[in-house]
Amino acid sequence: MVDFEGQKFVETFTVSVVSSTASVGFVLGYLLQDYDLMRNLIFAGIVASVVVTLPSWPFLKRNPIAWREIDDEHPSAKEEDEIEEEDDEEAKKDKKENALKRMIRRVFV
Amino acid sequence: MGHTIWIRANSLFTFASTALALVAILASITDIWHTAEPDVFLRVKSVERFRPVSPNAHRKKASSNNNEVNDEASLNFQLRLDLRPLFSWNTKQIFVSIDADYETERNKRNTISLWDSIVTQKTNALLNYQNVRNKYRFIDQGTHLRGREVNYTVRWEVMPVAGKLYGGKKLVERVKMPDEYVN
Repeated sequence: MVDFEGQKFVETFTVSVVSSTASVGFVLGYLLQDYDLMRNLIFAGIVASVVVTLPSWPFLKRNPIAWREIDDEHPSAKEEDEIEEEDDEEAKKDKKENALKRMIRRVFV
Repeated sequence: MGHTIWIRANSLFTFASTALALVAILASITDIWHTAEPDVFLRVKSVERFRPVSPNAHRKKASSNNNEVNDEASLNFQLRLDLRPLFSWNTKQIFVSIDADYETERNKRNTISLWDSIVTQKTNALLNYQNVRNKYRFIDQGTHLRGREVNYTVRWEVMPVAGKLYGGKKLVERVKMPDEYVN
């Protein structure tokens, strides 16, 4: 997973490369009266951004988030255990809903 | 930007298409102050054939409701069109045509396209022909063409890569048709 530093780099890289190729391409294309030159320059910028930023390259994962260790003594951990012990149908339903919510959160947040 | 490839791809292509659209708009704006007139020369060298034709001549049975006879003329032009000034960096292709305009008792306004061409490159934009025959048939509605004053107009339409179409026309010749039919 690309970390926050990597995401920041991706954002800066894409915006600067695409907008600079667009502006340089526009000025050069207008001065040399060559539309294809402008178009090819912008496409080159887009392709460069695709290659550099789309795959999860290792250099985008160099600053992983330091998560806290799981604390078994924490009250919230205990609560979860208690819920698991209950064997109600309703609890199962709740669990399913929670899983769905977690999945949605994973996709959209 | 996001931590998954899909969010990164989404924002990259959104930004890229915005940039492309912006550049296309800017390019179409530069055409506003690109105003140019082509160099146009057209001369009707001769009327090679000029006679009335029946639209039903090729049918075995004459149609009862349309036995009308129409004048048809075959023309020979000398043509020199220099469309190079029309080309800008934002020009995709140019359409040129020669139109014949005249007025008859039957129709207030007749416009017949006699010849056209599509030019896609600036290097091919100088058209210089000694003998051009009309590509499309020059047929009047009725037999009004003898001794008729006909205006020959060159029209051009510029199709840009991005932006709106624009064009122009130039009246180049005003020629009287022969008073008698020519075979």
